[in-house]
Amino acid sequence: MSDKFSAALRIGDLNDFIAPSQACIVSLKGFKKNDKPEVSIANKQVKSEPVKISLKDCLACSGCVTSAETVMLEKQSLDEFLNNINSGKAVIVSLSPQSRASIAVHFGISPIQAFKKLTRFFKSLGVKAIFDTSCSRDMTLVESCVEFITRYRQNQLVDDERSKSSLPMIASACPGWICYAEKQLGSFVLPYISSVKSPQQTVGAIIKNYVCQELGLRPEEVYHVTVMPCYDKKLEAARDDFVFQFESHVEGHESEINMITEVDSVLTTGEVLELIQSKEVDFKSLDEPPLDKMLTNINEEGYLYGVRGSSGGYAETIFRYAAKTLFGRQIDDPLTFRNIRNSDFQEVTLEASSCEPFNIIFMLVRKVEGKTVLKFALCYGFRNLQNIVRKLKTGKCDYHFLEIMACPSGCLNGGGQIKPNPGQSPKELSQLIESVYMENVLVASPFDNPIIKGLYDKWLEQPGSVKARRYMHTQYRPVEKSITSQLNNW
Amino acid sequence: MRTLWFTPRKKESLAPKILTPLILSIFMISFLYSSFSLFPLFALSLPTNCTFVILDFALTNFVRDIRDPEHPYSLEQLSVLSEESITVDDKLGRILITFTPTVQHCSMATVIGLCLRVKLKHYFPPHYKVDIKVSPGSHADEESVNKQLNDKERVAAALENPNLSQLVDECLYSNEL
Amino acid sequence: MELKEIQRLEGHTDRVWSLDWNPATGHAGIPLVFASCSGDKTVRIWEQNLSSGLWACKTVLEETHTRTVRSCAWSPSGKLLATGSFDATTAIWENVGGDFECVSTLEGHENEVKSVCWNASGTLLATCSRDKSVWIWEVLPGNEFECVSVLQGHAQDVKMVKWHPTEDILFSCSYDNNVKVWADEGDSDDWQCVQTLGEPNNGHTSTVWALSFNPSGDKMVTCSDDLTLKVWETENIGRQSDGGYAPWRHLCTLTGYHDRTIFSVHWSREGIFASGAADDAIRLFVDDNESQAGGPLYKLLLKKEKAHDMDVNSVQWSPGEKPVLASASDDGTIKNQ
Repeated sequence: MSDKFSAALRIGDLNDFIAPSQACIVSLKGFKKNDKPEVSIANKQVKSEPVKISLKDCLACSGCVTSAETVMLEKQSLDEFLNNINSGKAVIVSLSPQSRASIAVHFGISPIQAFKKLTRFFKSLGVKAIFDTSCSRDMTLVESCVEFITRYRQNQLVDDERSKSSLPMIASACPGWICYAEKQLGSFVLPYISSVKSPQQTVGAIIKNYVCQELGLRPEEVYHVTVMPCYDKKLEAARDDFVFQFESHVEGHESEINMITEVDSVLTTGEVLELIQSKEVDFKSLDEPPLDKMLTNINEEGYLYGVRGSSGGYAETIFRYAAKTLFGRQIDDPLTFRNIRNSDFQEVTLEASSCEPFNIIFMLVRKVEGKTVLKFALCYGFRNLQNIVRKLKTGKCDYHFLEIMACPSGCLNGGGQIKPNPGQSPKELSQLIESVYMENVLVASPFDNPIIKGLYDKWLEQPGSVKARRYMHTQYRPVEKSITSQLNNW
Repeated sequence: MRTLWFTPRKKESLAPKILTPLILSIFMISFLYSSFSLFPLFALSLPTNCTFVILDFALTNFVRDIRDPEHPYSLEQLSVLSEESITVDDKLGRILITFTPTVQHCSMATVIGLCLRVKLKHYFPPHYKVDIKVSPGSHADEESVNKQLNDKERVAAALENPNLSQLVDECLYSNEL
Repeated sequence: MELKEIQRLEGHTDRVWSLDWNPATGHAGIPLVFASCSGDKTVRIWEQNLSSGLWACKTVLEETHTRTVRSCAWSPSGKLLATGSFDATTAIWENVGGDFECVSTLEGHENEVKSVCWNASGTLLATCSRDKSVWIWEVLPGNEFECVSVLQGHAQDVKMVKWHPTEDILFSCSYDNNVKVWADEGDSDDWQCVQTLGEPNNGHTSTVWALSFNPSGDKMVTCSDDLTLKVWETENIGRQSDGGYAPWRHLCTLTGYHDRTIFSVHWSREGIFASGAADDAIRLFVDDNESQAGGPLYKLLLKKEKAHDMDVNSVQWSPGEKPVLASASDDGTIKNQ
């Protein structure tokens, strides 16, 4: 089992003695009739192919995640990436701010320099556009804020079974956590997880559903790659939920139905570094062209902007929004999170004050005076995750929102980030990345993001609308332990 | 230590035990049949021609006629005769069994071994020590398969798994002959 | 010296996997008590009758674990009993006026829990599983347990966890043939593997099933499926001035005493270590004062062939002035000798 995956996945029920090729039971089950997302079926013809495992099969199977890696390296590799550029597809890259920071630290430059030099580098390879997932993350955050308010109100006003599972709301951006919850924890925890797609899938949905049309491209002509701090993101991209049918009408041809994948491939930060090295590019001396502004958080003056919080800022942003919306409290200063058990488990609370007029209605209903009305936590790493799950199970979890990430120290320390230099400890490196993460980034509310506003105005109508739910939300389901996996793994 | 089929005279003196290899043979066949009929999921998961054969003196006529579902050959024709298949040491109360998966990558080798272990437990006094191995060179993961099959804690835990124990039962008690 | 069977305890209906003496018994007039656990999914508590000197089953703990109970361990105070089961859970039982009540269930392991162990102060509990991980739980007031660390260093099934008798250093042994030493390197619950004792440093060549410390805690003995026992030692048991720990090194290997897997080893306070194996035999070893330079440092004190009718799974010396040795076997019995 590769240690590239997050701890949550490594703990999973893995086959522990048979080599990966045999360990995988999916290939032999014979149910492999569904089409891989990568394969488009022209004119609805079904090609017969030799049975081959796709990542989707791996996700559907509880047997192991070992073979997933093999498949992944094949389907979401640098080679595939270069092949697609050469095949004439319009390749679009979406870069995560965590990867940007990792590369900046590795080369000793600023994050914005790293972003620009990467833009130059990718374009020299033939990539059409480079975007920024802190932009799509703003949409994820806006949708999450709205979802939280709905859940909070439901929890306060209705007292039935359904409302009990509305809080705490759990962030959905960490694919390691999602995978663990679906495979190991099952149905009791899934209703708590936010239905909003992660920034990676959000940018995928925006590009394949909307931006393509704006650019005059059919979605099947676009190959969309994200650069992520995390290996588990590859599993996320391969989920069935993130594939949709698209009917193209090309003149003179019958209409075709294609299966479109929101994110065709995920490269980790480390893989991008590998690519830079393999091309023998002197990265630091690359020039710094302007960024592609369409889906990038950069303002007119050339400053990057976004939210605080190196794992996406979910707790922070939703806390502010809830304080304002529910209790009329405007918080402008950075939030102070208190360490609970260790730096990977922190919480922030809001006490109800007695005389705010905005609050009166709520007070009448819930008698909240002097009480903690918002209690949010950051919960990173597997051990903290376990304790939260334990509390949830025993009904002792009094949090309203949980930003759960499978990796200790969160996403900056993701398994896909560039490894420490010789002599550098992982801790030192992650502190360094943490310190440059917000360098040249202006703190801005996602609700003020003009790009996101534009997307709602022109496309999704408003946060939480039917259209927004259709494109920006997803669902989770427990993965049953397959019998075959048990037969092989004992 | 002695090898059962080498010495016909001793074999007769061991009359009650003759039953054991015979039953083993029957179980093998039933395993193949039951797995392809009663347990479709499992059957599908068997790689092509993943059969295993323990051949010994007690291979009877009807065993000879069993055909491998994948081949026009009988199990006997397919088999590699091994003199080390089963050795019983009554004095020390020890049994050594070697079986031969017909493909190197048989993913069911550990399950087959599990079946053998359960079967032997039923037909020998409880204090007999049983070692089960794949014949040398017959499996790609020979060492790890052997290690797992002889870890009694792993075996005990496996047999508490309802799905595994059901499969083992079907292999052992199927009437499909 | 002789190993005489005092009593044969019957009651379990399946193999007895493990047993543990209550450390708070056997002195000051408190009768000796031990717990045993079995493939019959139950735990039995046995108490010695002070006048007859014989043991009787006082309580049967059942209906909590749904599969084999593989391991049991008393907290140092003797108030709590932890039991680890193939059902992937660890149960914590509290002795409330002679009645045992399950006060907490620890979930999280993916599959079979193989071993449980309390640290010397009773503030930490370690568990290990076939899922290759070792978990450390902190004991909080009100029988609450919180996961402090999930240690993933073993490549295979972890067979046993054992805390050092005085320090908060954890040892684990595994199907991957290694023994790993885990310590908290800082003050932030940052548990890490500080040493691996494996084949390259004279370690075992097959599954390591158990380990035990000598009374002073500067030596440890391990037993394995490779049919050997190995003794290890360290210069210094506490944390060093540089914040690290002195490494453990291989002292000697005892070969040729058992001819099937050695499942259990336990070092008595009197300096005798007992081993129990799948050859149904128990062996006792002791320091060899007259050992030649380069010769084995431990000599066989006694061999007990046919100690049981079947595999010996666990051997444990009792606390108290006159230690007795209890052994648990596949034959479903426990013997005190």
